[in-house]
Amino acid sequence: MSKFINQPIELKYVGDFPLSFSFGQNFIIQYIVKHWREAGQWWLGESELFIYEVSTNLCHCELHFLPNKNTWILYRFTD
Amino acid sequence: MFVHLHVHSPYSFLDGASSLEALLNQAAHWNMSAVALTDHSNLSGAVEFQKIALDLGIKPIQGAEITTEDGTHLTLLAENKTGYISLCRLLTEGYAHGSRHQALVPWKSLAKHCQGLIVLSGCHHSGVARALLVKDYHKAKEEALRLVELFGVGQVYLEMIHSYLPFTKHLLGELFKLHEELHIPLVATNNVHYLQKDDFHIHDLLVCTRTQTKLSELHIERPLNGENYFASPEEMASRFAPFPSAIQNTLEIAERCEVALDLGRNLFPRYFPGAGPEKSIRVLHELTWAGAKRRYKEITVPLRERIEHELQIIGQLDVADYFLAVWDLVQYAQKQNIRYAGRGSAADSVVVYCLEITNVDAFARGLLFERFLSLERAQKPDIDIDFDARYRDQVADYVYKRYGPERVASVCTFHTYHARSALRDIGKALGFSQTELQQLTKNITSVPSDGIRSLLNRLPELKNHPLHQAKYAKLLDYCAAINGFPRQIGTHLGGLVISGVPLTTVTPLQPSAKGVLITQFDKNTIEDLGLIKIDLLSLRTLSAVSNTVQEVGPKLQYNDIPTDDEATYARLQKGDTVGVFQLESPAQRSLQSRLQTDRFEDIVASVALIRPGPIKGNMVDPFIARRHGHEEVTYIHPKLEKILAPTYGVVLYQEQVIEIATEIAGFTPGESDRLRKVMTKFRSQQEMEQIGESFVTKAIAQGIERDIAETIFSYVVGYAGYGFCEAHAAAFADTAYRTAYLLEHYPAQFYAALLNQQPMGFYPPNTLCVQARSRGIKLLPLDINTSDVEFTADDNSIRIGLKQVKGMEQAFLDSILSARSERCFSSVQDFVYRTTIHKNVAENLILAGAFDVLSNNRRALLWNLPKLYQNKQGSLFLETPNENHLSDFSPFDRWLREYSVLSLTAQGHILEFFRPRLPKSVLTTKEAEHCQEGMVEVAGLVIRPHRPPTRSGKTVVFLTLEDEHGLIDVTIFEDIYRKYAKIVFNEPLLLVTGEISRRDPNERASIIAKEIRSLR
Repeated sequence: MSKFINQPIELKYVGDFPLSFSFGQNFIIQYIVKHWREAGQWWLGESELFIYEVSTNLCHCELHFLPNKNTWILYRFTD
Repeated sequence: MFVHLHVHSPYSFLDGASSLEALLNQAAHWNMSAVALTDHSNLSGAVEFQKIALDLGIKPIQGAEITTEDGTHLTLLAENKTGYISLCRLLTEGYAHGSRHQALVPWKSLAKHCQGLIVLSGCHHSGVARALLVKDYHKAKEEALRLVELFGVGQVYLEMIHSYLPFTKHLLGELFKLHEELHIPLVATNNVHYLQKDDFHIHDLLVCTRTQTKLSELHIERPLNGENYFASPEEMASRFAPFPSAIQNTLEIAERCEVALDLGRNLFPRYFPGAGPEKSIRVLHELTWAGAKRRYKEITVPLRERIEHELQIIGQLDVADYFLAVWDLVQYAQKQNIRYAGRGSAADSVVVYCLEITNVDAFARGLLFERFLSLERAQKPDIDIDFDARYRDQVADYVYKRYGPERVASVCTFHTYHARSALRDIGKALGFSQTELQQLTKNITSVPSDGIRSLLNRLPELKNHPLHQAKYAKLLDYCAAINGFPRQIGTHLGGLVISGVPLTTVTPLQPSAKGVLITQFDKNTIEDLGLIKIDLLSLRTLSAVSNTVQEVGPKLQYNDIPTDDEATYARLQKGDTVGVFQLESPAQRSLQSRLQTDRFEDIVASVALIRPGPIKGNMVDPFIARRHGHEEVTYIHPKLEKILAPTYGVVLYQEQVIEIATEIAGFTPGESDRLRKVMTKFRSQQEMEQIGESFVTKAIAQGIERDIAETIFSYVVGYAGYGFCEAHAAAFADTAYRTAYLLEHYPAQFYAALLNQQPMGFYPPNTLCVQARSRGIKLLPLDINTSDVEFTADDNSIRIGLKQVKGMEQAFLDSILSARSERCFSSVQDFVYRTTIHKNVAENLILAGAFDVLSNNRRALLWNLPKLYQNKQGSLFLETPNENHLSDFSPFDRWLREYSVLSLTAQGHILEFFRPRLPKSVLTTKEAEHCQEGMVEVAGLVIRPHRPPTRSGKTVVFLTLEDEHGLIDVTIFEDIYRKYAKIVFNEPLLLVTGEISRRDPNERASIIAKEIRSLR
């Protein structure tokens, strides 16, 4: 099961390694499960997307980073 | 530091988006010591790659990414020359096992040809990675151990690609685990498909083209991201920070690999296997002198010296075997009565003439052997021979049998992106509809795909072209980016290579669409590998000649045609040359009448004159003026007279440039040939200036005054871009004269032969029919009971052949002939019942008038046809055809329908239907031809509108108007063209108002257009 969020968040990180973020509660990232990059629908003007599946102290989350906007998004919570 | 060991170039065919040059320049910029090229299942880029890399001080590592028989990928690198041979053999066996589109290398081949190869376990399509991705570690281990068992310890590396895919972290971790357990070293690559991240879009579009998908559609082979670029060593080190040995090992592999490609050898086989070169030279001498006795009445001292000179050079270059091989295959052609004609610079050789390979007497013409072959250049000889198109493959088969299929192959060619193909492919991937793409490619001529914008701005008929719209800007950018990329591999029209060693030690071989094996190197790179190409070309003109000779019978002896036939020259002088080889275009017809051609030399000059160079260089008018004595022929230096006298002081042929350089400046043959090449291609002003300085300096040293030397060099510069070889022109002129003779004396048989060999020549078949009718030849309609398969002719008439009908196939023809041999067809019903013709072809036969002799109402026959087919198939409801109540098509409709299925008509011309509606002031082409001057109006069918290069650089359109009486040529200058561009290239029937033009009294009349209207 997953819960769709898609909200921008403030994320602390070192280099390209995410550390923690707040979204109601404080989520501390324990490790990165998966990390990949997607070109998106570039022909429609979509920008590149960095995707992180992380395990936090509270649950698994999927985070998106938009490099051209320097923005982090909490995309969804997963079981 | 780091070295890229897995790199795809455009030779991965729609899977590589950056040129070799761009990739290697970047590598040089980063001081990369080596780079590997690993295209998919081919080595086509190997020669270009090695040459560029070595020039840049980079070690080229030859390799390929192969697909095994179970569909898994492997990255193979040639450690040395043996490894390169292994690659060639593996790929050849892969294509033999798979298909022509996909090489699938059997594992047993890998076991057999593993020598000299370093193996990287491959991308995520490899056996190892696939197993790891489905979490089958045990299977992955087996796959890795299989590679070690096949290739040996130390030859296998586990390939790690960190391109940010969802499975990357898992895959790299598991590969590391395998490495620790099996002690197989790691190696880092980036599976490079393009130079920079920004180039990913181009790659994605190419993949869409390859997978026939649109950008908006999903496909498993579409890349998820743009990370497979030529990453810098620093970036690669950062990506692989946890696995430093993977980076370090790239250098170790690069160090181990040698330059594997052997360039500059001579691999042509000995004509006498096992014997040394002496025997070949001796036999070549014998054959040449025997030939000389046949060709010449007397062997004079100069002739003897010339032949000895040529034989000496041939011997010193060790190419006698090549001459013998070509002699052998023309001997075969002679014995089989296959018509042929040697052409190209080979006709500069007296030896080649004595061997009866060419029909040009190089000695009598004073042709320069060094244009063909010289010690200093030491290049490989290149002999081109045209064969009767019907039997060219038979000659090629003979070569295969003679040398063995493992030593003969066709040369490949690469179909590269130009404007139209790029617009179509990229436009399709971007999601434009077929209709939209048709509009986008309409009127876009054959230009490079990075020249579309310039074309749109240059041509007036493209002023309102949809590609000007902003929404197509990106499309044009993408098209420009793929300009010149190879799209697919094909077969060169005539090139065959014969090798002294098995070809699979030199090049991979793969099947072509036609089924023959082709090399993976094209004509530009095959010679670097030591293979010599023989061009066996198909020439339909020679088929037409044979056809004519056969139709006319023994009274025509083609080889004994008189060389000074007055009637033939009279025809040339009138410019009535539609159908004559090389002399039928409007420009040639005009030249023939202006030149008043009355000798063979005029024809040779004509062939060379109507070329972009002489036209742009304004050589045509002075040549004609001097030829007629209207302009004085002067020579700035007496030494030039001997060289330029045959062309009235005009520099026309490549051989003359070489002779000028040799005589005036004392250039060596090699220097002269370099000059010829610089002149012919004229790519660099700097190079031209350098060679000019050298010319003048050397000429002064030869005692020639500076200003004279400079003036002579200016003549040579004026020649730049002509690029025509006299020997080649003379070879073509021989066929041109002979076909003119056939046209003059046997027009019906010759036109029928030309019609049988379509498509060929400058004009469509209907124009040939119009011309035939204007010569008083009756064109007999198609007749289901009388027509042969092909056009047939007697002295006064031509009968249309059944083959001409649209949709006709050999099986249908066999069926008709077989049924007709029993008895003639009595009705369409009888025809349908007794043949196996498809209904649509039967419809075409009706429309073509094939049944007019049985029933003249084509519409009624067409109406009843479905019922006949129903009845034939055993319908329960038999219907009796009834053809009484329908009136036939109107004459105009009959004409149009007949034309649509035959591309010609037996009777009449479309203009006859329009003529009654035209004002009386509109002249026929015949009437206009007789006008001496003034304004005329002429209507006609537009034939071959084209825009050749012009002297002024301005755009001028030439077209021919055809009516029921003949042809008249029309010239449209830029201002008028800009006004009427849209209709000139889009309307089939035009009414042209213009001024009659004759540059001199002998010239055929043409019209300078002033106003143009569509007849529709």
